[in-house]
Amino acid sequence: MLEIRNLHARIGDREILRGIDLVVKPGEVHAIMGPNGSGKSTLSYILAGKDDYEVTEGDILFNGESILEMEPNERATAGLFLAFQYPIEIPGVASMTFLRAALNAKRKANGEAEITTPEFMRVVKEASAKLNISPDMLKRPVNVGFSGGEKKRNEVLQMALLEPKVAILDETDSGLDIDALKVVAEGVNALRSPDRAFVVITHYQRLLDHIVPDIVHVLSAGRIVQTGGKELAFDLEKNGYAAYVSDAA
Amino acid sequence: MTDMVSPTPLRTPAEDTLLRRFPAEKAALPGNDTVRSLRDEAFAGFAAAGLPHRRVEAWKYTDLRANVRAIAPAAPAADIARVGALPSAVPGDNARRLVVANGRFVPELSDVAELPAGVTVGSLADALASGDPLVLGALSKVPQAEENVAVQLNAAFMTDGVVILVADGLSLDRPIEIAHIADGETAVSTHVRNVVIAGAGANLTVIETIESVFRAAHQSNIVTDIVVGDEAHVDHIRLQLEPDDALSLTAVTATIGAKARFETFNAVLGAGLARAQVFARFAGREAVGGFRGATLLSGRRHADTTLVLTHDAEACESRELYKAVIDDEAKSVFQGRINVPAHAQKTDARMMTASLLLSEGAEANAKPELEIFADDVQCGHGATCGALDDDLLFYMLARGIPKAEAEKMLILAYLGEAIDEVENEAVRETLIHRVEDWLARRVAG
Amino acid sequence: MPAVQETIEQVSAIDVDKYKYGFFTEIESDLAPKGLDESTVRFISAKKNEPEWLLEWRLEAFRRWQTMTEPTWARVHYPKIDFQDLYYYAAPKKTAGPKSLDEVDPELLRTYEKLGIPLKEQELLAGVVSDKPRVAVDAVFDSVSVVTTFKKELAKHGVIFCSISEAVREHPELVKKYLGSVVPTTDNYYATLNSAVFSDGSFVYIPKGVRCPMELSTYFRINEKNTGQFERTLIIADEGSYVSYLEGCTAPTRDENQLHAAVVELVALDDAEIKYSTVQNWYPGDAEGKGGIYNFVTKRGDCRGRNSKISWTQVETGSAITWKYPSCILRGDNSRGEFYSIAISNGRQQVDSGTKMIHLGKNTTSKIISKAISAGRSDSTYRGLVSIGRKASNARNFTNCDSLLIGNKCGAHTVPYIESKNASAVVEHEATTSKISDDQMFYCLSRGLDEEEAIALIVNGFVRDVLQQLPMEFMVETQKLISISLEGSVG
Repeated sequence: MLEIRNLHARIGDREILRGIDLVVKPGEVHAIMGPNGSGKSTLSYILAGKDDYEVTEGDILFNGESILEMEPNERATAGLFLAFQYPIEIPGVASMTFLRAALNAKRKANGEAEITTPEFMRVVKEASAKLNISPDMLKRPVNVGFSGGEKKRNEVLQMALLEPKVAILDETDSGLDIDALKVVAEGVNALRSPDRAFVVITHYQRLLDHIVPDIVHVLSAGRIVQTGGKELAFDLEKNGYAAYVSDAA
Repeated sequence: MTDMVSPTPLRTPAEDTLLRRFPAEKAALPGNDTVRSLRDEAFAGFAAAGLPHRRVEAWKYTDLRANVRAIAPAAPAADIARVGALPSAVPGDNARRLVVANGRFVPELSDVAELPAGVTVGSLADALASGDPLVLGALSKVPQAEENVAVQLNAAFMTDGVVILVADGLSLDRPIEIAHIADGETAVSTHVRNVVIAGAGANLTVIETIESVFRAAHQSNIVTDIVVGDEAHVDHIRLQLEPDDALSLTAVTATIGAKARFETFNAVLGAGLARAQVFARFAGREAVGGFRGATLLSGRRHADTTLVLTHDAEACESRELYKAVIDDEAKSVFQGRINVPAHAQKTDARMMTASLLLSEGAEANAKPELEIFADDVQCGHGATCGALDDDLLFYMLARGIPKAEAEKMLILAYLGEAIDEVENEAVRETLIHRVEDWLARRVAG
Repeated sequence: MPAVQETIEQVSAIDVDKYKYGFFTEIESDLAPKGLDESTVRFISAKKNEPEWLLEWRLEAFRRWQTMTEPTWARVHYPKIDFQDLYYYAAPKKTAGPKSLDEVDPELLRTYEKLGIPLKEQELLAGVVSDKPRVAVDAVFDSVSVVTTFKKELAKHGVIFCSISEAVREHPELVKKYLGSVVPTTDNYYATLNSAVFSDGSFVYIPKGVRCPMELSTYFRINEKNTGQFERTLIIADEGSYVSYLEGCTAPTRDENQLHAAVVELVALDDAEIKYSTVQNWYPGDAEGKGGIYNFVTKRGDCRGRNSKISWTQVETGSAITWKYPSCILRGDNSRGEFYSIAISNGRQQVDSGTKMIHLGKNTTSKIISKAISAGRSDSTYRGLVSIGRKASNARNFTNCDSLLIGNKCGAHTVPYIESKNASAVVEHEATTSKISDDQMFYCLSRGLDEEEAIALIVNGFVRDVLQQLPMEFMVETQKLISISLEGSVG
């Protein structure tokens, strides 16, 4: 479904990714763990198509086709979703307008008609209720004045509405207390299905208590240095990243 | 901040035309002796200085001398049928519409029947002819307006306009719309002067539109003097919808009484060269003012918004917010100045201007000034200039929204901050539609 | 709040005559004949044994100057200057040229001692004041440099630090290459006048890759009556070098106004950095506005190389009139310009100051922090230009100008010009004008501070962002100076 081949990337003169290989199959949940500065966020931004980074080598295949030349919105409508570590505030743009534009963009790409207002209201109401998102919150501009937890729940709401094939969660646990974390994790778990894959990027193991991965990778200095089952996460929690950091250096 | 080595410049053809026209035309212009000397005095001001150019600080970014090549002939009487066929530019505003065509008030196209008691609507030409002291006393009596060359030219050549008087305590439930319409297949020039006097405690909304029947390079110079009585509330909105190669010089002057409220919003959506000026003075204490505007520019258009606000009384509060969106090789200018003399203690003034550059060739200039002599004040200004925020755009793209649509949403949101402050819903809707049209044309290329 | 009112009265009654550097040194001077014509220019050039090319350069500037008129755009008011009623050259007689310390007239050494300027390098070298960082000083007295300290030690690192007159003789190739390359002789009225009659000033060259081992500084003193001081400073930081430079200025108390029209040119090549700090404390005139220095100065830095950086920090407390805009031309890609300013005006002082940040190269950044405090009957104007050229992609500017008014007879004005011709550039400007807030005052008083301490505390907080930019060894000195400038309220 998602295949990363020998991916090298840099920003300016600084090489951040130095040859990443990763194969994600439908229904799988992959966790990518790593110390600060290992390239985790860079990887998520490159998958989503941020043009601050330059891919110097390698390829990213989505359903067998390279997406490197695709615009971020084309990737999104094709079914790739990035839950941002720091969701962006957009003053002046109403949350509902934003959700509707996103939903319609996807429908248009699939050759479907625009969603009707009653239908739109219904799906938003349903999805937001599950995530404890009040109608009041959705009356505000996108993420403006949202707490950290509200922002992350809003990300999951968008994911639920857009029904991606692959969802990348970038440090979704950062800035959340345990209760907020549970709500977010439940939201994500509810979306798990045999034809949807997740890539969960995180520094800590605690998120993985709630979103249990099938495969865990350790990213260090721009490379995947270790791959294992979910027990690898526990090991990391206990022993830290020191072994991998010195390895890479 | 450049050293001045200014040789006396030669006269331009445009200046020559104006210098020739005034003596030839003044006898036919309306007004008693007082008005005639007022015209002479104003014209003398222009004659001494000529058209303002870049070495004149207040016109640094808008050089009329270099950019006004020729003066169009004075507009003849308009074709009433053609003008009458033009619908209101603000549909749904339920306004009492007054038409000023080619510089003349046209009662037969104006909705002046059954005016509420206490409201007077008349022609400026009549007021000038009779030398109505109330009207003459209201003509640009605001700091820096009378010395302004564009206002001086208006005072010298003004032909007509409307005079609106609202009695003390009267609240008008319908807005008054003044439609300025230029009619001519080729360029004509007009000089229009309106006077609005709101008595103490009066409440009204005045909407001005500036349009034309044909898309010709008209030249209009429109000044509206507004006197806001104590505790009165005047909402003023101006929509500039001139053809793209028109020359538009406009000014609003406002004298604001104690505990009064004055709001003015100016949308610059047209003209190849526009200078929209606001001169306002808080004359009584505890008044509140809102000064806002939105400018949309494309092609090689040039628009200048210049605001001079004098807090001349204690404890007044003002908010200024001007936003510009600049595309192609267009150029925008914002100059805003807040004067706070020593006696205007407890002044609270905040001025903000923002420019959004959409293309490589676009240009923005801003000069927000504070001139403060009172110590117990809270004054500030901010200015920003830049392109659409990449992070915002990326976030929207990452949700599948195509770039053009994301940009449109962001631009609407950006302007919305100013437009949302307009109280009149019909105007707000008209503005949003105009912005959407503009954006659609932009995308269509 | 009555407490504040009392302070206002105290501040307005400030005795600006308490200027502590107002003494005059009895010393015999060599003066050029009063007035200005071509012969004055030739006199100065001859006094300095200048080469023919420099005399020609001066004469060309002089001819140009005669065709120019005084600028009037600044917000300052003063009677017309009679340029024929000034001396354009004054030098202490006993110093015919730069000397070693032991040859300097003891009267001069005493003057600098009184001003608190360390000219005795032996002492420092011997470690007598070993905890103090070392500072090399070029002392300029009226029209000439009387001594430059630490020259030998600096020479070991290849650093040239001398008077500009000496540089003309010893390093003509450098002077010829860079003089007037940042501020052309035709630049503006006062800069052109300076080009014609400049007498002395400092010259600094930091070679490639050298980090200047100590602070460099120039101390300007106007002593003689009716003289204009026209110094010229030229600093070149070659590739990869770094220098921090500080200038200080004082003058005797006099009833007449005196003119100071300096030009400072900075050139930073690839990866070089120049940090230029000024503590300007020229005689400000008395409380009624009598006397004081007219400080009409052109300062400009050229970030000519990639990744170069020029930072201006100024503390302006003196002068009757200040007219100066230390600027940066950000020509090299990735270059950076900074302007940090504290301007304190009191009595009848008039300040019109600010900066110009001209972004020409890609990824250039600039930062402007200006703090103005007006008291008494003074007027202070921030005037600044941020210009983003067509090719300055991704340029960034941030500007913050805050003004504080103490009393109701002074003025604070902000006149920024923002001009952007590049869509990828981001310019942000913010400005505020206010008084010391009653809440802040009350809070401090309620913690036991007296009113003067409270104002001192708050004003110091207000200017902190800028103070921090000064070299450590001058920070304390400057804090004291700020207090003195607001004497009566801050004590």
